[in-house]
Amino acid sequence: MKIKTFDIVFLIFLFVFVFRLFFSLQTAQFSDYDSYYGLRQIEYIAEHGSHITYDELSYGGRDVLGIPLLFYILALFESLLGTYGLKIASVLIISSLIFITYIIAKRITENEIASILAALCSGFIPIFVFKTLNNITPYSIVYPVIFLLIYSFYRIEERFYLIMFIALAFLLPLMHPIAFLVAFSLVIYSILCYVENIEENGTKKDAVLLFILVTFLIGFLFYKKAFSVIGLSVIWQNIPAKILSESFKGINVFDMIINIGIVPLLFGVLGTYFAIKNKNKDVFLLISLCITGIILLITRLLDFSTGLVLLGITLSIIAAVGFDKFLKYITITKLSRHINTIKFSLIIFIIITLILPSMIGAVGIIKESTLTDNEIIPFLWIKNNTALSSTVLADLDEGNLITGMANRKSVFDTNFLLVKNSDKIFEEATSLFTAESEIKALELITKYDIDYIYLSENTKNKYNIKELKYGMDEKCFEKVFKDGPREIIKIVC
Amino acid sequence: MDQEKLSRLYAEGKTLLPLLIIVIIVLSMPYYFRDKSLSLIGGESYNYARLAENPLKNYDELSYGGRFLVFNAYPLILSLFSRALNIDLMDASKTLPIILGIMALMLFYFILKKLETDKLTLFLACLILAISPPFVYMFTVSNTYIIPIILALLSFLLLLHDKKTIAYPVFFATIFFGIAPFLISLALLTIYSVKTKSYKGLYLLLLVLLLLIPIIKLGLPEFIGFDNLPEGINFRMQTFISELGGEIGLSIFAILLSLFGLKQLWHGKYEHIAVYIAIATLMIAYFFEIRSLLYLNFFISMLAAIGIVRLLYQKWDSVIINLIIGVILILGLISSIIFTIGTLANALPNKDVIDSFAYLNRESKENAVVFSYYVKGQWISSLGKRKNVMDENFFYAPSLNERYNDSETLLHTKDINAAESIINKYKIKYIWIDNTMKNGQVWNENDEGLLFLLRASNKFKRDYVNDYIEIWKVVG
Repeated sequence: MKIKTFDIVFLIFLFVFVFRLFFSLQTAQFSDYDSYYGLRQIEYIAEHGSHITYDELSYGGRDVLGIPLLFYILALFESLLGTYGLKIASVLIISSLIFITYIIAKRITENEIASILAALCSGFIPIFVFKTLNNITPYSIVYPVIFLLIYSFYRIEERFYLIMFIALAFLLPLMHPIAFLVAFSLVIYSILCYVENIEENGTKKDAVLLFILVTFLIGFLFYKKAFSVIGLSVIWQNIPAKILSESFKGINVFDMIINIGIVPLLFGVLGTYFAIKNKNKDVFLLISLCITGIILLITRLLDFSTGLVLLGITLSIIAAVGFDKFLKYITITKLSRHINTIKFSLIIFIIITLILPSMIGAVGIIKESTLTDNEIIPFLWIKNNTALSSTVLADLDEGNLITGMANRKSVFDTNFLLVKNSDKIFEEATSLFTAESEIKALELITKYDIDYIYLSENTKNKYNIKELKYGMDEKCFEKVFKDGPREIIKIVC
Repeated sequence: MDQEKLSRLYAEGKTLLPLLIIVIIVLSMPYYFRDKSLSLIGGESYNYARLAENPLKNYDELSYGGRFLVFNAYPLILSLFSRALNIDLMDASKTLPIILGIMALMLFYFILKKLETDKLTLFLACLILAISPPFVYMFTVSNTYIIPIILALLSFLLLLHDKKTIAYPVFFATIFFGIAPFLISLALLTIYSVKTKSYKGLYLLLLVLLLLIPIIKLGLPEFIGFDNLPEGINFRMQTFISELGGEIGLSIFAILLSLFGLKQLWHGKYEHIAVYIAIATLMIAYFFEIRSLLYLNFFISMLAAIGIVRLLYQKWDSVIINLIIGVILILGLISSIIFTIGTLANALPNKDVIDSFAYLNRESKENAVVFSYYVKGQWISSLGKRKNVMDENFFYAPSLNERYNDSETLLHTKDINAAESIINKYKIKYIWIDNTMKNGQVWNENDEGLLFLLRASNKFKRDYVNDYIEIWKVVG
């Protein structure tokens, strides 16, 4: 029985799906603390039918902008199958990217083997796996939607894909501000076509205009408030300057290669070269996406990992052109006798440089980044033993655990949008972990109306402290919970 | 009137009437939706209403604690309008801009008509102008730019009709409404003169200006040594676009459409060079004077209309996309105007502000000096009828930079001695603070600078408080 190409793609999809699910189901918890914000939204949607538009717990109350479409989809699964259903759905959505990358690769190369290899690469981009494994992130749906949009753009002359493009053009800006990046890419694409003297089909020109207009309209409708409150900081999602610079600190080319993977990078660059040489306009759109990603990364307008993931997936698809050219080249050389060995070697190379690092990374994520049962206890303690109106100071990453798991107000968390003076809040809140002066600490504690301070093992390691230096005065600071290195201090004065 | 004239008038009316109805509705909206207990919008409108009470006075005893006033014809016109219609100055300040807005639209219409713009482009340009945020702001909020813009439009219309002898005096009249609007108009006139190669009028105008020099005995005004707008380039970008929160900003959709319009114009290459230079000049002027956007808006409206017509007539390969783009553009333009109307309807001063000044007016002595951030200065003098330390009318303001630096010191110092010396210097009796000042305009923290001193020192007593305002009395 001959194996059909689609069967192989389906097998790759199954492999990616099982791979992700295997690690996700190792634990009932999530590997990214921001997921607990998502979980809170999902639970709220499941209960009330709509998402939280005003978050009373984050930063003592702030508006939530945009429509978290993924949370609505996951809420459906959560209400039917519980937390595991949510995990399965999330993995299913992100794994579907395999089919999309395959059809795009097939479209640009018309070479099945090359397309399969590209699809395999896209499923195991190390940074993509690390950032989307066992967590609830809007990117799980955003990436498939972006590439589906691109595919429908390619085939926009056909009515079905035209409708799909229009639907996705509305959906993407509704889901995530990353739509602005796609809009920018389409502008660069138009410029590239103009520069390269490629006559673009009329419908595609109209589609570019449509997408830009829809993105602006929806973007401004939803984020107008953010623009008027925090101005152009919206572009940086109002992330404090210190965190932004931290996320780019210590990054070197070697890291980037490892994170994206040698194969997508090598064959992606090769594919780019041939695409430009042959004026392949379909690949031009993918190249535009890469250019936009790189520009936004250089200007630090895009979060480092998001930028790399986008680059990684896009390069994987462009790599199909590289694979195609490479395999065709081999067939005209003396090595053509060994073509199957070369194909097999290529797969082995992908396994070694992409799948294995992803696997090792995934083990690390589940082991080290996921909340353990012991780590949950303090949050449950806060939930069961503190007043509903209490404000708890925990480190930035744990802020969403305070709101999501303990259901109490956090001093700060990673949702910075619409937060005024996010830089100052970040600076002052983090200073409370290292402050020495009790007077200064109490000043800030009063300012932020803090009732409890949670010191986790991670917080202690991060700030290199064993305990709060100003917390010796028992009249003011009462240790109400202690479990190993984890402690909760109540402010009593 | 013969039959031909009548039918021409009828045809004109058919296009103009819907536009006039739209502009009347749009310009009335902000006041229609505004709380009826409130009156005007912003600080400038109240200031001109106050000055219109005695429009020929050249000394203002309330601004900057008392200052020489450079003549501005706007309060005079406001006063005459109020007397002519027998309405109070507040109503005049609401009505006059709307009437002038209708005039501006008509003048714009006739200018485009004279430039032989086709009917559809003409109608769309006027429509886009009528629903553009800068236009709605300009002809809703009583301000000194209203009449210079009308005069500039009128003089350009007259120039197009080759009525130079009337056009130049009309143009020259803009100088009575401030130096900035005059310079902007002069720049546009220069571009026009160079394009039409009619330099005579320009020379004449410059000659008349030279004759004015001996009249100015005051010397040059003090240059502002401080940036009266926050955050430099980012803030400029934010104010440029209405959707980013700019009160008089252009709609992003009008800008996008105008790019298509520009592309269309570019088919004629350098034929429209005057338009490109005018736009570039106004963009540069914007970095010095935000309100040059009000002039730029006329160009953007015209270009956006050309852009729409281009989009309408270009070959569309997909009807669905065509339709959706049309709907989005309409929605985009409408959403801009809805947001603008909402913003203006809810603009300050609110009831709390008005109540606080009513209290101040009731409880304080007539010659009391009230201190606040300079942006609130015109409210202090107009609503509270009390002296301010500083306001936004910088032109020929006495010791402007010194007052600004002192104000900044007072707002941000925690040193009671430094604060006291400034308070004594300006004989400050009251300090007026609102929530905007506490939420970023001046301070970010409750215990910053003067806010700390007010609570910590016994030299101040909180005299009045409501949800939005605090008034502190200097008691020491």
